[in-house]
Amino acid sequence: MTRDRLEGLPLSVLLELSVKEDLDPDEGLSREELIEDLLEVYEEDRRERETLQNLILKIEQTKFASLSARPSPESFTQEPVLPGAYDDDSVDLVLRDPSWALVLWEVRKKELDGWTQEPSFRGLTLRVLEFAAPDTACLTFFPIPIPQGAGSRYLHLPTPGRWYSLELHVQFDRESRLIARSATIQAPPELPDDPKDRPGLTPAQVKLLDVSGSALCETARARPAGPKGYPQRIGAWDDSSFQDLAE
Amino acid sequence: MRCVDFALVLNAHLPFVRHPEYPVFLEERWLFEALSETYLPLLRVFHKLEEDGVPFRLTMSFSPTLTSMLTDSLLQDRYRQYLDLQLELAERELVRTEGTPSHKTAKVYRQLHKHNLGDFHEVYQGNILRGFSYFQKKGHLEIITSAATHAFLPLYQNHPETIEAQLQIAAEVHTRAFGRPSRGVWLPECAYFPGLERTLRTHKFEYFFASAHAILNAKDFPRAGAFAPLALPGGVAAFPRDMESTNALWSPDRGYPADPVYRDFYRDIGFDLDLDYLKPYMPGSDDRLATGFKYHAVTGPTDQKVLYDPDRAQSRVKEHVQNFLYNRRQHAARIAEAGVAGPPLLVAPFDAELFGHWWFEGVSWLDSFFRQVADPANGVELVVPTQVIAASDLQQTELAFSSWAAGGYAEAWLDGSNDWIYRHTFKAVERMVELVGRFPDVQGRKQRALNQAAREVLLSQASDWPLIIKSGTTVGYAQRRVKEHIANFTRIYESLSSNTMDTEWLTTLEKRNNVFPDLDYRVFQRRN
Repeated sequence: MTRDRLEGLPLSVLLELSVKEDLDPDEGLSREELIEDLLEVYEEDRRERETLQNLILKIEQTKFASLSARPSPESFTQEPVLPGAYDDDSVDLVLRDPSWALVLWEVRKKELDGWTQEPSFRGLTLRVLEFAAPDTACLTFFPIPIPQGAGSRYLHLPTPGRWYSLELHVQFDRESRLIARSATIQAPPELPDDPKDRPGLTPAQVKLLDVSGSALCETARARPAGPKGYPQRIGAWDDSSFQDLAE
Repeated sequence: MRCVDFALVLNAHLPFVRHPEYPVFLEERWLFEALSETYLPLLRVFHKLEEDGVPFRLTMSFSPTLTSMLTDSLLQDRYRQYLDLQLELAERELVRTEGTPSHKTAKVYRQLHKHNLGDFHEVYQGNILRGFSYFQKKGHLEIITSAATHAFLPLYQNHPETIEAQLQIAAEVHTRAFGRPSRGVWLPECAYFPGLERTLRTHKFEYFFASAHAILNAKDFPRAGAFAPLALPGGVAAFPRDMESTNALWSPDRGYPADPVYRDFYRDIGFDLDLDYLKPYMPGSDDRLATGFKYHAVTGPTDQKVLYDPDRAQSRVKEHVQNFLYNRRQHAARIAEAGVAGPPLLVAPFDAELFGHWWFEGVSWLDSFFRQVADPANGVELVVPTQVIAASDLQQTELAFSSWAAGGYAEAWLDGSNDWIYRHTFKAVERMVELVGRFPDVQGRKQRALNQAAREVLLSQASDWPLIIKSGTTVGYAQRRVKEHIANFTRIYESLSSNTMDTEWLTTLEKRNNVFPDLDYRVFQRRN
């Protein structure tokens, strides 16, 4: 929508457009001010749309771009309700990238309610077990206390190439009881973002990686700056307890 | 002289969107737009190349959800209605733009929709897969499949039943649709995790495409860099993505589609013209939406877009193809200097919908590309992966977890905005496996319920939903889809547990979410 086009529209249509754009126009607003406000909104929309341009994910998003601003049909707004809990004892460990994994856990409500009534109850704990290989003895483990009511968090995997599994424990004054154990996953080996930084390369290999586009490859682009605020949920409660123990 | 082997790969995929419960459902336009702007124009290019004796060759992957939608009679009928309206709007646009510089562009749109209507009705009788199968039989196309609902497989590596189901169904749907098994597989988002090759091998997939960093960081140094496939344990080949070839089209700064003369994707009459004029062509919407009729050029980083000139854009296409081929030869020379013997293999995978839908001139670019490559003086030979495997002694090694997204892993599919999905999809898999254990061999209504439960589990796993949620486009719809499939599955699970199945509801659900009609729920049998 251009300025010329807006200037050619009657005031009633401009007001209608303003309402559609959630501008909540003031009654005293002049025609010119309305047009300015609308142009600002359209410009913002346009900028948002243009930032979607290019790159793989952006291309995929354009498949869905034509309808991005539309409201859902009336009857489609009644969302189905997801189960709030599955009343299960479980812990899942999901690898996100070489350094971070998502942890999901759940404890049966009746069980948890019973424990919390006990005076010696101290809370739930995740125990991170580290292995050199699957089906070998645990090298070390670290506890992470779980805040009441939480059901997920991101976990930093400290040693590339090592294997990890999680145990969900309930802690009492004098004992710890195992509730559930996750599958064992491997933190990927330590790989450089730019493959040219692999250790021990010969000059010929560096040259080959250079012409292979190693500086352009996926890991060399758009890497998040660091663990702070990454992934988004980390901010909710940090990894300090885990890191302290790891040291 | 042949100096480059070039493998062009187009990945065609859309999530399963089909809503018979509404007379018109806007998200079904995702398919219709791709049909009108990419798939049908691409088939016309293939036919013209064949008529002209141009020896083109490429690989295309069709995801099983897209394959299902393209063969669905309801969606075929709805696409005909969409085409009728598009053609009517095209006729009105011819009148509206008469005597203006945009008239030439309006004629392009009228021709596009007229050809689409004719081809869809008369040539393909509603099923365009016939067209692609034809070119497969002629040896121009190597058609492969992708995971059943395009799940991001590494996120399900602790649930081997999902990996198995996604790949087994992919193989079956492909064979039924294209009349022969798929020899390769497009891993959604090129996402790989160690061990995946075992399941690939089980289903006789011989190759897949991997990210560049996966290949360049392979356990053993890749002797031919990113210019040859690597063999994983068990023999499955991983083909690397050539970053320079793909960036030539994808780079936000230097990519061809960003050229100022090409058509702008975002500026659309749906947002510019009077709503009363547009209303008849936006059924099902009270709001404005893109119509596909766009009259402005990319222009540059400005909102003062100049008018699009189709002739100017077409001549730029030829220049860009020449430039692309020149750069490949230059690249080949640098690769040779780096010690790679013989013509290097450059693999350039793209989303098919880049060509035509997003980059309007993209289909013409492909046409010009194949024609110019046919001239031996350009030194480029087109190859498909099975040819390369047959002719190569592949280096054996191992790869690490990887994807082709920026960052290289699962960042886009698992973050604070979308990680709530996985608690539910994981539980649904566990429960589905449990159901197969409890009902290993049932018939009748129970069998129908179990098959539908499996469909709902698979539909909830589509990688499109977390991606849409993360990118903030049609978030409400994506959230709704995940919740709906989980809720449907949960209802079936609980009904089977209490032996109280609502047959009417089940029948309605079967008709609505009818993807993979031949699915057998036992595909979710326990794997460890």
